[in-house]
Amino acid sequence: MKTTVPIHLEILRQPQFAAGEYDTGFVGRLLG
Amino acid sequence: MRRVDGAEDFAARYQEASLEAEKAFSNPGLYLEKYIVDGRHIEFQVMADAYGARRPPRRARVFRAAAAPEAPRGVPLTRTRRGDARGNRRPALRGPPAVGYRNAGTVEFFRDPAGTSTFMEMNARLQVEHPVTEMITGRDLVAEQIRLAANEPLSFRQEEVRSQGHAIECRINAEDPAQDFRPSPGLIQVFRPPDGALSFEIGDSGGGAAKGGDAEGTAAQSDPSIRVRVDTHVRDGYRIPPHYDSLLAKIIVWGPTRDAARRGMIDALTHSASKG
Repeated sequence: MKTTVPIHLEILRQPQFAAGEYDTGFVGRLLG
Repeated sequence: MRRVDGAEDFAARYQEASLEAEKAFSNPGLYLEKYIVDGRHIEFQVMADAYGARRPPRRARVFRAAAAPEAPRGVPLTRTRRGDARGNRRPALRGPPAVGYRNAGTVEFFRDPAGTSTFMEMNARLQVEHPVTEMITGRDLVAEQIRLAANEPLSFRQEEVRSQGHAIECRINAEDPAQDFRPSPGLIQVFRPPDGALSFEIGDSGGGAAKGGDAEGTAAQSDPSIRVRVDTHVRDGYRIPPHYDSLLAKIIVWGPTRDAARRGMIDALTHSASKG
Protein backbone atom coordinates (compact mmCIF):
# COMPACT_ATOMS: atom_id res chain seq x y z
CA MET A 1 0.00 0.00 0.00
CA LYS A 2 1.29 3.44 -0.90
CA THR A 3 1.10 6.30 1.58
CA THR A 4 2.19 9.91 1.67
CA VAL A 5 4.82 9.27 4.35
CA PRO A 6 7.76 9.23 1.89
CA ILE A 7 6.86 12.59 0.36
CA HIS A 8 6.41 14.11 3.81
CA LEU A 9 9.91 12.94 4.75
CA GLU A 10 11.36 14.28 1.55
CA ILE A 11 9.77 17.67 2.18
CA LEU A 12 10.91 17.79 5.79
CA ARG A 13 14.49 17.06 4.78
CA GLN A 14 14.66 19.75 2.13
CA PRO A 15 17.05 22.57 3.16
CA GLN A 16 14.58 25.13 1.84
CA PHE A 17 11.81 23.79 4.03
CA ALA A 18 14.13 23.59 7.01
CA ALA A 19 14.93 27.27 6.48
CA GLY A 20 11.25 28.18 6.30
CA GLU A 21 11.60 29.21 2.66
CA TYR A 22 8.60 27.61 1.04
CA ASP A 23 5.40 28.66 -0.67
CA THR A 24 2.37 27.16 -2.39
CA GLY A 25 4.51 26.07 -5.34
CA PHE A 26 7.06 24.22 -3.24
CA VAL A 27 5.60 20.71 -3.45
CA GLY A 28 4.90 21.03 -7.17
CA ARG A 29 8.51 22.02 -7.85
CA LEU A 30 9.76 19.19 -5.65
CA LEU A 31 7.70 16.60 -7.52
CA GLY A 32 8.92 18.15 -10.73
CA MET B 1 -11.11 29.20 -15.21
CA ARG B 2 -8.52 31.15 -17.14
CA ARG B 3 -5.19 32.55 -16.04
CA VAL B 4 -4.15 35.84 -17.57
CA ASP B 5 -0.55 36.99 -17.20
CA GLY B 6 -0.73 40.16 -19.28
CA ALA B 7 -3.27 42.80 -20.28
CA GLU B 8 -2.88 41.87 -23.94
CA ASP B 9 -4.42 38.46 -23.25
CA PHE B 10 -7.27 39.62 -21.07
CA ALA B 11 -9.98 40.21 -23.68
CA ALA B 12 -9.52 36.87 -25.42
CA ARG B 13 -9.38 34.85 -22.23
CA TYR B 14 -12.37 36.68 -20.83
CA GLN B 15 -14.44 35.94 -23.90
CA GLU B 16 -13.46 32.29 -23.88
CA ALA B 17 -14.41 31.84 -20.25
CA SER B 18 -17.61 33.80 -20.63
CA LEU B 19 -18.78 31.71 -23.56
CA GLU B 20 -17.92 28.55 -21.68
CA ALA B 21 -19.86 29.72 -18.63
CA GLU B 22 -22.89 30.61 -20.68
CA LYS B 23 -22.87 27.24 -22.38
CA ALA B 24 -22.48 25.31 -19.15
CA PHE B 25 -24.57 27.41 -16.75
CA SER B 26 -26.66 29.70 -18.97
CA ASN B 27 -24.88 32.58 -17.27
CA PRO B 28 -21.92 34.39 -18.88
CA GLY B 29 -21.03 36.27 -15.70
CA LEU B 30 -17.47 35.87 -14.46
CA TYR B 31 -15.70 36.42 -11.21
CA LEU B 32 -12.23 37.96 -11.40
CA GLU B 33 -9.57 37.53 -8.77
CA LYS B 34 -5.87 38.17 -8.45
CA TYR B 35 -3.60 35.26 -9.30
CA ILE B 36 -0.68 35.05 -6.89
CA VAL B 37 2.26 32.88 -7.91
CA ASP B 38 4.22 31.10 -5.18
CA GLY B 39 2.62 32.86 -2.26
CA ARG B 40 1.97 31.71 1.25
CA HIS B 41 -1.38 30.77 2.72
CA ILE B 42 -1.94 32.12 6.22
CA GLU B 43 -4.91 31.27 8.42
CA PHE B 44 -6.22 32.69 11.66
CA GLN B 45 -8.43 30.63 13.92
CA VAL B 46 -11.09 32.83 15.45
CA MET B 47 -13.65 31.89 18.08
CA ALA B 48 -16.37 34.29 19.10
CA ASP B 49 -19.06 33.89 21.74
CA ALA B 50 -22.11 35.98 22.48
CA TYR B 51 -20.37 37.71 25.37
CA GLY B 52 -17.64 39.65 23.62
CA ALA B 53 -14.76 37.19 23.77
CA ARG B 54 -12.71 36.13 20.80
CA ARG B 55 -9.39 34.57 20.04
CA PRO B 56 -7.06 34.56 17.03
CA PRO B 57 -3.97 32.37 17.46
CA ARG B 58 -2.20 32.56 14.16
CA ARG B 59 -1.14 29.64 12.11
CA ALA B 60 0.01 28.89 8.61
CA ARG B 61 -1.82 26.59 6.27
CA VAL B 62 1.35 25.80 4.38
CA PHE B 63 2.33 22.27 5.32
CA ARG B 64 -0.01 22.68 8.27
CA ALA B 65 2.52 24.46 10.43
CA ALA B 66 2.04 26.91 13.25
CA ALA B 67 3.20 29.50 13.76
CA ALA B 68 4.24 30.66 10.33
CA PRO B 69 7.99 31.19 9.89
CA GLU B 70 7.24 34.67 8.65
CA ALA B 71 3.76 35.39 9.90
CA PRO B 72 2.52 38.65 8.44
CA ARG B 73 2.69 41.66 10.66
CA GLY B 74 -0.14 43.35 8.86
CA VAL B 75 -3.10 41.53 7.40
CA PRO B 76 -5.96 43.95 6.85
CA LEU B 77 -9.11 43.05 5.02
CA THR B 78 -7.88 44.92 1.98
CA ARG B 79 -4.15 45.15 1.43
CA THR B 80 -1.04 46.42 3.09
CA ARG B 81 2.70 46.05 2.97
CA ARG B 82 4.67 43.75 5.22
CA GLY B 83 6.03 45.69 8.11
CA ASP B 84 2.86 47.63 8.74
CA ALA B 85 2.28 46.59 12.34
CA ARG B 86 -0.99 48.41 12.74
CA GLY B 87 -3.02 45.64 11.27
CA ASN B 88 -1.40 42.79 13.15
CA ARG B 89 -4.17 40.23 13.57
CA ARG B 90 -6.73 42.96 13.99
CA PRO B 91 -8.62 42.30 10.75
CA ALA B 92 -9.03 38.65 11.72
CA LEU B 93 -10.33 39.85 15.08
CA ARG B 94 -12.62 42.53 13.74
CA GLY B 95 -14.25 40.61 10.94
CA PRO B 96 -16.38 37.99 12.72
CA PRO B 97 -17.91 40.32 15.34
CA ALA B 98 -18.60 42.90 12.65
CA VAL B 99 -20.99 40.51 10.95
CA GLY B 100 -22.41 39.08 14.17
CA TYR B 101 -20.61 35.79 13.76
CA ARG B 102 -20.57 33.29 16.62
CA ASN B 103 -18.50 30.14 17.16
CA ALA B 104 -15.36 29.00 15.34
CA GLY B 105 -14.26 30.60 12.11
CA THR B 106 -11.17 30.45 9.95
CA VAL B 107 -10.02 33.71 8.40
CA GLU B 108 -7.70 33.17 5.47
CA PHE B 109 -5.13 35.41 3.83
CA PHE B 110 -2.67 34.97 1.02
CA ARG B 111 0.71 36.65 1.07
CA ASP B 112 2.57 37.22 -2.16
CA PRO B 113 6.37 36.99 -2.45
CA ALA B 114 6.66 40.78 -2.06
CA GLY B 115 5.01 40.55 1.34
CA THR B 116 1.59 41.93 0.47
CA SER B 117 -1.20 40.09 2.26
CA THR B 118 -4.66 39.88 0.76
CA PHE B 119 -7.83 38.70 2.42
CA MET B 120 -9.20 35.56 0.76
CA GLU B 121 -12.20 34.34 2.67
CA MET B 122 -13.59 33.35 6.00
CA ASN B 123 -14.77 29.78 6.44
CA ALA B 124 -17.56 29.27 8.96
CA ARG B 125 -15.95 26.31 10.65
CA LEU B 126 -13.07 25.08 12.72
CA GLN B 127 -9.74 24.86 10.93
CA VAL B 128 -9.27 21.55 9.16
CA GLU B 129 -5.83 21.42 10.74
CA HIS B 130 -6.91 22.74 14.14
CA PRO B 131 -4.53 20.37 16.01
CA VAL B 132 -1.57 22.61 15.23
CA THR B 133 -3.31 25.54 16.86
CA GLU B 134 -4.28 23.36 19.80
CA MET B 135 -0.68 22.26 20.21
CA ILE B 136 0.77 25.76 20.35
CA THR B 137 -1.96 27.22 22.55
CA GLY B 138 -2.80 24.24 24.76
CA ARG B 139 -6.51 24.87 24.16
CA ASP B 140 -9.08 22.25 23.25
CA LEU B 141 -10.83 23.98 20.37
CA VAL B 142 -13.40 21.25 19.80
CA ALA B 143 -14.54 21.52 23.41
CA GLU B 144 -14.76 25.29 23.03
CA GLN B 145 -16.78 24.88 19.86
CA ILE B 146 -19.30 22.71 21.68
CA ARG B 147 -19.49 25.22 24.53
CA LEU B 148 -20.21 28.00 22.08
CA ALA B 149 -22.88 25.94 20.32
CA ALA B 150 -24.57 25.59 23.71
CA ASN B 151 -24.49 29.40 24.01
CA GLU B 152 -21.95 29.27 26.80
CA PRO B 153 -19.06 31.74 26.96
CA LEU B 154 -15.52 30.85 25.99
CA SER B 155 -13.60 29.37 28.89
CA PHE B 156 -10.77 31.89 28.50
CA ARG B 157 -10.22 35.50 27.60
CA GLN B 158 -8.32 36.89 24.66
CA GLU B 159 -5.45 38.10 26.81
CA GLU B 160 -5.05 34.59 28.21
CA VAL B 161 -4.21 33.15 24.80
CA ARG B 162 -0.50 32.44 24.54
CA SER B 163 1.21 30.73 21.64
CA GLN B 164 4.26 28.68 22.50
CA GLY B 165 6.64 26.86 20.22
CA HIS B 166 5.89 25.45 16.79
CA ALA B 167 3.75 22.63 15.50
CA ILE B 168 3.74 20.75 12.21
CA GLU B 169 1.00 18.43 11.01
CA CYS B 170 1.33 15.75 8.35
CA ARG B 171 -1.74 14.13 6.86
CA ILE B 172 -0.98 10.48 6.17
CA ASN B 173 -3.09 9.40 3.23
CA ALA B 174 -3.31 6.10 1.42
CA GLU B 175 -2.17 7.68 -1.81
CA ASP B 176 0.70 7.26 -4.22
CA PRO B 177 2.62 10.54 -4.63
CA ALA B 178 4.41 9.13 -7.67
CA GLN B 179 1.06 8.64 -9.42
CA ASP B 180 -0.33 12.12 -8.87
CA PHE B 181 -1.55 11.10 -5.42
CA ARG B 182 -3.83 8.40 -6.76
CA PRO B 183 -5.85 6.73 -3.94
CA SER B 184 -4.53 3.39 -2.77
CA PRO B 185 -7.51 1.64 -1.15
CA GLY B 186 -7.36 -1.80 0.40
CA LEU B 187 -6.90 -3.74 3.60
CA ILE B 188 -4.42 -2.54 6.20
CA GLN B 189 -2.79 -5.54 7.79
CA VAL B 190 -0.50 -3.65 10.14
CA PHE B 191 -0.74 -0.06 11.27
CA ARG B 192 1.76 1.34 13.73
CA PRO B 193 1.70 5.01 14.65
CA PRO B 194 4.94 6.57 15.82
CA ASP B 195 6.79 4.64 18.49
CA GLY B 196 10.26 3.21 18.74
CA ALA B 197 12.52 6.10 19.66
CA LEU B 198 9.44 7.99 20.75
CA SER B 199 7.91 7.11 24.09
CA PHE B 200 4.30 6.98 23.04
CA GLU B 201 1.06 6.73 24.96
CA ILE B 202 -2.16 5.78 23.26
CA GLY B 203 -5.26 7.32 24.76
CA ASP B 204 -8.94 6.56 24.36
CA SER B 205 -10.44 7.11 20.96
CA GLY B 206 -12.89 9.78 22.08
CA GLY B 207 -12.36 13.16 23.61
CA GLY B 208 -10.35 16.22 23.12
CA ALA B 209 -7.06 16.94 21.61
CA ALA B 210 -4.56 19.10 23.40
CA LYS B 211 -5.54 17.76 26.78
CA GLY B 212 -4.84 14.12 26.01
CA GLY B 213 -7.31 13.02 23.42
CA ASP B 214 -6.90 10.63 20.57
CA ALA B 215 -3.30 9.66 21.01
CA GLU B 216 -0.60 11.79 22.47
CA GLY B 217 2.86 11.17 23.74
CA THR B 218 6.29 12.56 24.45
CA ALA B 219 9.55 11.92 22.71
CA ALA B 220 11.14 11.02 26.01
CA GLN B 221 14.12 9.19 24.64
CA SER B 222 15.20 11.33 21.71
CA ASP B 223 14.14 14.76 22.94
CA PRO B 224 11.97 15.26 26.01
CA SER B 225 10.80 18.63 24.75
CA ILE B 226 9.08 17.14 21.69
CA ARG B 227 5.39 16.25 21.87
CA VAL B 228 3.70 13.96 19.38
CA ARG B 229 -0.02 13.55 18.80
CA VAL B 230 -1.72 11.12 16.45
CA ASP B 231 -5.35 11.47 15.41
CA THR B 232 -6.48 8.31 13.67
CA HIS B 233 -9.37 5.93 13.24
CA VAL B 234 -7.22 3.19 11.72
CA ARG B 235 -6.46 -0.13 13.36
CA ASP B 236 -4.98 -3.42 12.16
CA GLY B 237 -7.46 -5.00 9.76
CA TYR B 238 -9.03 -1.70 8.72
CA ARG B 239 -10.15 -1.56 5.12
CA ILE B 240 -9.68 1.74 3.31
CA PRO B 241 -12.88 2.38 1.37
CA PRO B 242 -12.48 3.38 -2.28
CA HIS B 243 -15.27 5.95 -2.22
CA TYR B 244 -14.19 8.26 0.59
CA ASP B 245 -11.25 10.25 1.85
CA SER B 246 -8.11 8.13 2.00
CA LEU B 247 -6.90 9.83 5.19
CA LEU B 248 -5.30 7.35 7.57
CA ALA B 249 -3.97 9.59 10.29
CA LYS B 250 -2.90 13.06 11.21
CA ILE B 251 0.45 13.24 12.95
CA ILE B 252 1.17 16.45 14.80
CA VAL B 253 4.52 17.26 16.37
CA TRP B 254 5.24 20.18 18.67
CA GLY B 255 8.68 21.53 19.52
CA PRO B 256 10.04 24.59 21.28
CA THR B 257 11.50 25.74 17.96
CA ARG B 258 10.43 25.17 14.39
CA ASP B 259 13.50 23.09 13.66
CA ALA B 260 12.88 20.94 16.73
CA ALA B 261 9.35 20.30 15.50
CA ARG B 262 10.66 19.47 12.04
CA ARG B 263 13.21 17.01 13.38
CA GLY B 264 10.63 15.52 15.71
CA MET B 265 8.30 14.95 12.78
CA ILE B 266 11.04 13.17 10.86
CA ASP B 267 11.52 10.91 13.90
CA ALA B 268 7.79 10.31 14.19
CA LEU B 269 7.33 9.44 10.53
CA THR B 270 10.43 7.26 10.50
CA HIS B 271 9.04 5.26 13.40
CA SER B 272 5.58 4.76 12.01
CA ALA B 273 4.58 2.00 9.63
CA SER B 274 1.68 0.73 7.62
CA LYS B 275 1.47 -2.44 5.60
CA GLY B 276 -1.32 -3.58 3.39
